[in-house]
Formats: sequence, structure tokens, C-alpha cells
Amino acid sequence: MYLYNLTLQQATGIVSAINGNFSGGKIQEIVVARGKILSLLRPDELGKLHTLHSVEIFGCIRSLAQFRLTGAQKDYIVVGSDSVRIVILEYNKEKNVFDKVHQETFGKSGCRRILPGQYLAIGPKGRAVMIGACEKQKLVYVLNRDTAARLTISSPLEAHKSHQDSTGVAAGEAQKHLTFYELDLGLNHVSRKWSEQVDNGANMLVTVPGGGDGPSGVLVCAENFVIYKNQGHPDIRTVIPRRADLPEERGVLIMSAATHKQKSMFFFLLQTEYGDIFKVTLEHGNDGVTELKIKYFDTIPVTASMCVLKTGFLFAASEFGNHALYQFQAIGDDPDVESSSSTLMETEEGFQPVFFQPRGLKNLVRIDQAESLMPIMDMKIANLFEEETPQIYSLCGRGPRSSLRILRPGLAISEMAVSQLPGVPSAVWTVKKNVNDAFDAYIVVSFANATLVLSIGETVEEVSDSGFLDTTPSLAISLIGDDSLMQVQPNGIRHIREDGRINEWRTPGKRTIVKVGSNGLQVVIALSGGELIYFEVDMTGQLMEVEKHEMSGDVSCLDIAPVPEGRQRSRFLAVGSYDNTIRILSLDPDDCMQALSVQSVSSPPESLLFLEVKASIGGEDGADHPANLFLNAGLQNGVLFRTVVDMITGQLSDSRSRFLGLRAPKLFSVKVRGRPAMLCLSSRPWLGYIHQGHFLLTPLSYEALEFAASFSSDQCAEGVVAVSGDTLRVFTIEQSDKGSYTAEEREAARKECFEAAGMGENGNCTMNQMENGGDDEDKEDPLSDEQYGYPKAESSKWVSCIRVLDPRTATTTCLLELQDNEAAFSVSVCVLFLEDGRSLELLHKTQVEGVPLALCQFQGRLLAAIGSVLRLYDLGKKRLLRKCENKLFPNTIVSIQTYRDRIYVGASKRRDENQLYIFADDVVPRWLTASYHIDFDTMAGADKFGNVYFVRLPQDVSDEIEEDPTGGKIKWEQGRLNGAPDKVEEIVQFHVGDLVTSLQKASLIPGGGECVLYGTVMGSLGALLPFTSRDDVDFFSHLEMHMRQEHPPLCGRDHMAYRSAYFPVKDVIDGDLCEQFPALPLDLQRKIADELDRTPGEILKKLEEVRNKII
Amino acid sequence: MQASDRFNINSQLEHLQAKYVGTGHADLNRFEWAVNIQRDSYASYIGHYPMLAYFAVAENESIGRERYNFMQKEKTIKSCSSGYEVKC
Repeated sequence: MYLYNLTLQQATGIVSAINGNFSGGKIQEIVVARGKILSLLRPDELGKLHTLHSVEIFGCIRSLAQFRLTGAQKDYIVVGSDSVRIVILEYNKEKNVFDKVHQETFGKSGCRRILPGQYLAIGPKGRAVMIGACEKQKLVYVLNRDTAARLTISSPLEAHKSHQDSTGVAAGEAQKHLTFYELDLGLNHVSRKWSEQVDNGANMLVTVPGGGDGPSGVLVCAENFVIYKNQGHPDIRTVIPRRADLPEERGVLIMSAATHKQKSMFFFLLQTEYGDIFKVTLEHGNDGVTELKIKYFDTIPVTASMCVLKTGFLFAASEFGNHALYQFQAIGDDPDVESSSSTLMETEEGFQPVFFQPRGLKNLVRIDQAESLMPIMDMKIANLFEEETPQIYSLCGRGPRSSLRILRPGLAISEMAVSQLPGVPSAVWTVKKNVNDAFDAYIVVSFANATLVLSIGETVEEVSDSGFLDTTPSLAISLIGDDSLMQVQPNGIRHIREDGRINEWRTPGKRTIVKVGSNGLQVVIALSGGELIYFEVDMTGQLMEVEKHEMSGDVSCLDIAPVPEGRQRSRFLAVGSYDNTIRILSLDPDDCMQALSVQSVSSPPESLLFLEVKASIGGEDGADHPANLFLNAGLQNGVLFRTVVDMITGQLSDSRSRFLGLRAPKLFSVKVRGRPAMLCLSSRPWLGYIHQGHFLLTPLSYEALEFAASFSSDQCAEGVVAVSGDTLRVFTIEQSDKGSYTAEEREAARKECFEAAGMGENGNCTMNQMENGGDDEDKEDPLSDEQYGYPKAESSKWVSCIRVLDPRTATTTCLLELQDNEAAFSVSVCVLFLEDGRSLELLHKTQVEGVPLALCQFQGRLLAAIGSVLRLYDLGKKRLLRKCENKLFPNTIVSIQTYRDRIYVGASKRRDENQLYIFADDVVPRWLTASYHIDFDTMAGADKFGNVYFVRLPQDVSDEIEEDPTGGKIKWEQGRLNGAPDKVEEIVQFHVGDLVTSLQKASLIPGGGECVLYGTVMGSLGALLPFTSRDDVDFFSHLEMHMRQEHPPLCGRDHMAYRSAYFPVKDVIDGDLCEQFPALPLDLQRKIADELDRTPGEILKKLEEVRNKII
Repeated sequence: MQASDRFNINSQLEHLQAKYVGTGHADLNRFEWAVNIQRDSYASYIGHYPMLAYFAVAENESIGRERYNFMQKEKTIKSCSSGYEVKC
């Protein structure tokens, strides 16, 4: 079995975030590391976050830092990862990619304790960078620039401390030290300038600005204290204020820090592990720092990193749950609880604490949030809504910020308006008054016997002075020439000049117009019976009839290609006929209406659209690739057919088709981020657009639409107006991220086990959380738990509940709160006895001796794993009755699955198959986090190091056990090597690089192949698709091989080594790497394609095909 | 140390062990071995953020607190089995 790994939703959690001007100039940007992904975010003036670029680096990012050379305008990014290389990146604005400026190797690969990469520090003037390991090793690189102003990097200078403590003797009296290093540029040497003992609870350092800006030195954040230290300066110590309800034994630790520096002042924001932000200021003068003040600022969810932007925003990258962008309302100048070094009281019991009570936000206001699914604790794929494709139900977040999110593949949209219309409209258009206008002037809606004109202004209202005929239906409305409007109705064409003059053209005889195609300068109409009439706009703006052409039969659809820049007319007209053909006709005066090519298709075309695609790598302003003209056709059988039109000859080549839905797709041209895109309306809407060089076809998370047009007004620059039923809808497409999923947050509440209504499945995740007493909390409460967290309790206290949810209405149909602390896990036994799918009834409790971590139904009875004992229970009247058990598992069992008469058991260190006689087990010890039963002989599993693997029972063993009347009893009794008599074979092995918490086999598209989907702690979703043909396997493994050679990962990790981080990768092809192919420069694409004996186009098509099999 | 000693295998090994913390040798006792394993494990947890997050969820702590705890443990592992005589 060969699998293709593809990430469906990139990780959403954030490891680290830095801010700076990465594209140069004044624009504030944020670079975030999401585990193995590096992305660049930019908040716009209104405070909406946009993702500009996102790239998978096939490595694990541990730290990020930014620096700027003196006098430069642009920040560079230093990445500390597991590649054991120091990598300096620069954001390339033109190409919209990160360019690798330097990559220096300093060790062998891995994420190990003496290999630098965990910590990064930048010299105050951007002259040097120090990269440190958890233990011992520190390297310093000197940064400079050469005569051409390019960044240079020196060879590394070692700053290690050479002692080691392998015996642990010194560890007993271990003392943390704070050391200042000095780089002597003249001697090219790093010296330990000064070293002093610090508090043993120290966990973070914050640089204090020096030179003209401040007193220099550092803030040492330690448990409960912040200490100012500098060479030759006495320590200034302040206690961190604590929440009044915090248990005495708990310390307060600073988790993240941000510095704000202006010309005249600077301050620090420090956030504690409970989410409280403190503003730290220093009083300083000529004789150094005199006072250190910590003032309560605000409380937001705990962050992994905070960034204060110069534009007055605070970006908070949450540890778990959605990230947020806050705007500063004030900088905490109002009086509040404050702790100061000058009032620090030392008593006999230690330092006197300062208490405060968290309050509502005063200095910050949240203006945007970025969705984060982190951590996905469990995930089920089911089609509860009976839609075309199944939904993914995931349990995200934790504690008070946990939620059940329903994910659907598709782009997020935001609905701006829905209005009722007097009848059922058939079509809608938008039109500008002048070619140079930025915004549309009218929305025109056509009904069965009338046309309604709405003018767009401050409000949208009906007008009658537009010149459009409102007593007939319309077939097309568009801007013609520079400033005149055209209305095509069944009996003729109405041409409305800018000054209000109206020219009418009437159809000859009783024939009516059935189809129209136009592009602003050219118009073609099709009359009933199959006659085509071609019009052109002449110099004076008149619409002139140019040519007539008789087709063999009725025309089903028409489209004219957009006018190429600098040309008078476009050369191509596409005509679809009911005889299952599409013809390309020429519109050139020389060979007007000559057929250039014919394409036969599987079903009559319903809609045609020419789309000019610049398959660029998506720089901000567009393309460096030549444009390609694509002809798209929506066929009546629901298939979208795409083919490339040769720009000169009009020949059609390289066709691809994809099934979109049950209705014939109607195609409309829209704009997404200023570039042409295509909206396809089938039984659900789809958007075809360019993303990082790929043409992607992605469904929109919206209901089925009838007709659509692009829409632009001063409220929304790139919107879509559409009709559906008797409503008119205006919406915008939120973001065009690759393969993004939209999550509907159904309910934010505490959930540990969820039982999708009507399904006999339970996902229980072991979360240790405290609940805040009763259920009386109010969402509007300024002190909501979502913001402030639950009060901390001892780690032995448990509170949990079982909830049955109806996903349709997002209501809880049953809530079972578990009472005593001790009973919390054993009680979950009763989950299996689902009463009627709507509510649960507590039947009885059964006391067991350990914590049952896994439960499963097996032949009408209950299998429970209690510690390392697997036991079969039957339902009794008062309690469960013990039937049989197996005590021979070496470790705690964490999952059980059954199929027919086999039981598949995942033990936290070993995976076994069991018939109450273990008959086969795995040879590799594993820390299992998720497992899924694939087929009778195969299991998929994931371990906590981020590996996914499949194991299979050898065929002969499987046959043997089926034939054996004792079910393997005799064989088991003989035993072998303390384990089961037979071993399973590992057939697939892959390092995902993220901790997989749930696995499920599912098919995400109707008629598509089944794949294994996984959800991870960092909030990403991925799929493993089995290949069906040997050819594909060959092709993709070669493509992967060439990609590894020609396009090594950005941060210097060897791709093969990364995917084999714990076990050698086996039979999995990394689709994420293959999908970077379109981002390569053209010559490199061609080189790889040549090696594979194909054209780059064929490779792109192949990549698209395999993606379409999954989603 | 004499010049010839510099090239004998033992001194090279010693040099390597000084340079690469955690490298094993023939005389490694059980305690040292276990300390190395544990320190490597903690450092690996600190380096792999998803794993830290997983522990944080299980222990209901913030990720930063988990990292701090692991770091404190990594630095101060004293004994893996109580009562074991430490050979210096």
C-alpha cells in the first residue's frame, strides 16, 4: 500500500510570533511560526488580519527573531529550527516568497539538547545573533554587509561553557546564572563579560533598551518576581501581583513579553500564565534605574507570543484557541493595582504579595480574530446534515475556550446583505456607468417578465431613470464601449448612450435572442434556430453589426474571450451546441466566424467562460508567468470541463474535467484579490482561483445559488451579488487560502466526551480541567471564563460532564454532570447506554479498580480497558457483570476497536490484537495517541512523537487464526519472547511532524476514494490517500525525489530526514512537498518535467487530479 | 599530557565526550546513562511544541508553565533511583 499525504488545513496554532517591517517601508507585519509552517500576516488599517504568504518548511520551528542592519529599512528573519542550521530569511515582496539569504550548518540534525536552535538573541544594533541550545552550546554569528549592501554572515564563534555535569552532583546545588556576553568585533571573539547568580525560578529575559533610549540591562522574569539587572547595578526586584483567588502554593510565571519603544518612552507588557497582562515601567536617571513598577493592564487569554505594533495594535497569539488582534484604547496610565520595587516589603515569611482582581478590558479592545483549531482533541467525520459531502466535527480548544466546531471544506464567506425580492429572479448583473469607474452603478435583476434596476449608492434602491427597459426580461446587461450600457432582451438589443440617447436593434421576423456573449467591445447573440450575429463597438461608440453566421442547430451557450491588453478585439468566440460540442470561432476580420477548433464533450454544455490565468507565484502585483487562456465549460451532467486555448491558433489542448455537483455549473467571472477568478454555481457554489501558482477549485461555504455577478462598491471592493430563491444576496469571499476549512463554532462550552446525536460513537479525551461551579455564567459577563480562565485547582481535582448535542440547532439535548471527583472517569462507562439518541439516563455506576481509558462495544457487550486489564462486561440490572478478562498487557491500554470477532487494542506502549488471547502484536514500542481500524487485518496508529503508521497482520497468520477452532488459544499459551506468538508487519510509516490526536477513515467527496484523515494538536487536518495505480506511485515518488533535490525545504532540514525523524519513512509520498512544484521558477519546473518525461502542465494536472480525489 | 597521548583513542573519546554532552562510553554507569536519557527526553519535549501542548492539555497548565517545569527538571535531575551510590 502506498499513500499520498496531503495537508487539508494547515496548522492554526502559533509557536512564536515576531513583528517588524519585513517587506520594507513602514508597513507593520507579523511573522508567525506554526510548528512546521512559517507565515506572514499583515493587519490592514482597519485591523483585519490578512495572511500574505504561508509556507511549509518541513522542519520544526523552535524560535524566531528579527533583526535589522543599521540604517536599513527592512527586517530579516532568523529561524531556529531542528535543522541545526542557522537560516536567515528575507521576505521578497515582488514574488511573495521568503528568500533564503544565508544558511549555515553548525551540527548534525535533530532537535536535541546540546544542539543550538532553542533560543535566539539579537545584538542590540543587529550586529550579531546568538543561537543557543537548552544545554551548554551557544554560537554567535556576526552580521554585516558587503560593498553591495548585501547581508553577510561570519563563521560561528563559540560561546560555550565547557563544564558538564554528567553525574548530577552539581545539579543538587544548581544555580542559575545570568551572563552578559560581549562580542569584540576587533578581536572577533566573544567574551563572557559578566556573570551573576539569579533567582532559580528565572524563565525569561527581556531586553531593556540602552544607549540613548534607556538605562540598558535586562528584566529577569522569574516565578513571582521581575528583577532588573545590569552590570554594576544593584538588583531591583518587584513582586508580580497575584490574583486574589490563586491558591497560595501556586507561583506566577511570565509567559510572554512585548516591548513598546517610542522616542520619548518605553514600556513592557508581560503576560502571566493566567492571562493577566502587566505594564512594566522603569524610573531611571543618571544613576541608573531607581524604581521598577508593575501595573495591572488587562486580561486576555494566555498567549504564546505578543507583538505590539507601531500602528497601535496588539497581536496576541493564543496558546490554545483563536488568536486575536487588539487595539490600544489607552496605555494604562489610569491608576490601577500596582506593585513597585520601592514599596516591596520583605517579612519573615518572604516578600509581601500584592493582590488584584481581574476586571473587564479597559485598555484594549478586540477588533479581529484569527481562527485557531488548536488543539484538536478529537474528530469525527459524518454526514449528519445529509449534505453532499460529510462534515468534520472536531473538538477544539480546551478548558473554558473549548468548542465543538463543524468543519466543511470550502472558503469562508461573509454575508453582507440578504434582501427579499418581489418574485423569483432568473438572473442578476452589476454594471458600471463608465469603464474608469471604480464601483458599480446598478444592480439589474431579471425576472420572468420584468427587469428591476437598483442603483448602488449609500443605500441600494430601485430607480426608473436608468434607461433600461423594465417590462421585459433581460438576457444580458453590460457596459459597452467606454461609457454606454447595453441591455439584451429576447426581442432586441437596447443600447443606452451616456447622454441618454437610446439605440434599439430589433430581431428580424419572429426570431428571439436566446444567448448572448459579450466582452465590453464585442457582442455576439444567438437567435433561436441557431443563427449567430456578431456586433462590434466602433470608434464612435456605436454598436455595429459585423457578421452573421448560421449554425447547424440551436446554440446552448456563448462566450467571448476578454480583450487582450492593447488590442481592439478578442479573437475567440466559444459556442456550445446541443450536439455535445464546443466550437471555437474566429472573430478576426480576415476569417470572421471561421471555426478554429472543435471539442466534443460528454454532455451538452450549459455555460462557457474564458478565463485568462496568469499562473504566477502570486506576487503582490501579479505575474511573471505568461498568461494562459482557459476555456471553462459547465456541462449538463454537472461536470466542469477546462481546457487550454492556444493564444494564437485557438487550438484546444490539455483538457481536465471535474464533477462539481448535481446541477449543470453556471460560470461567472469575478475578481479575487484583484485577479480574475471563476465562480461556478452547481448544487453548491465553487470558486476557481489562483493560489501560489496553483489553480484551485474550492467550494464556498454557502448555500446553492442561481446566478451571480461580481459586485464592487465603496463598502466592499470585491463582493459578489447573487440570487437564490427569491432573495438577493451580497457577500464577500473572505480569504483565498489554500484548502481552507471554515469552522462554524457551534457552542463554546466544556466538553470532554461528545456524542454526535444518532451515532454510537464517543470520543473521550482526557482533559484535566476545573469547572466553575454551576452553569450560571453569562456570555455577556465581563469576567467570562473564556477570557479569564477557570480558577486553578489542585491537579487531583476533576470535573467533567457528558453532553449530547444536536448539531443542527447547536443545542444541548442532554447534559450529565458528573458529581464526585473520584467517579469522573469510571462513570463514563454509562455513555454506551444511549437511550433514544436524544438524552441519556444514568442507569448505574460500576466501581472499577482503575481508570478506564477506553471503552468499546463488542458483540452486544462492553469491553473496558482498566489500566492494563482488558475486560468484557455484560449489562446487569444493578451494575455491569464481569465476563472475562485478560491481564497480560504490558502497559496501559488507551484505545480499543472491534471488528467482527477481533478486538484491536492500542496500549500506550504497544499495539496488540486480541481475542482475549493476544495473538499478534507489534514489535515497536509506541506511545499511542490515536488508532483506527482500517480493515480486518490492518490498523492505523499515531504516536506522541508525531508518527503515523499502519500495521498489518501477515496473510498466513490471519488465515491460520481464522481456521483455528480454539481462536489461537494453544498458540498463545506457548508464547514467544514475552509477547504474542505472532507479530504484525509495519506497512506504512510517516512522520507528520505534529502530534496526531485522531484518525478516521472517510471519503470527503461523493464517489471519491476513502482516505485516512488525521487531526493534530496544532490544529491541522491532513489526509492519507491510498494510490490505486502503480504508475501514479512511480510518478509521484520520482516527483518527490526531484523536488527533494531541486527544492530543499526552506529552513534547511533535509526532507527525507524530517519525514523519517523517528522511523524511516515507508511507502508514503509527501504531497505537501509535491504541491510546492508550481512555486518553483519556470526553468526548474521544466527541468524536473524533462526528467519525468512530461511537460510542466502535465505535472500540474496530475497534482490537481490527486488533490481532487481527496477533496 | 604528552604529544603522543593526544592521538590515542581514549583521549580522543574524552575530547568527544566533553564536546558532545550525552555521548556514552564503556564505563558509563547505569545512573549516568539514565540521567542522560531523561535530560534528552526533557530537551526533546521542550523542542517539540506539539508535544508540549499535548502535555499542557493533559496537565491543565499553560504551555509556558510546562516548558518551565521541564527546563527546571532537565537542569536539576539528581537521581533516577533513590539510594544509588553515585560514582564520581
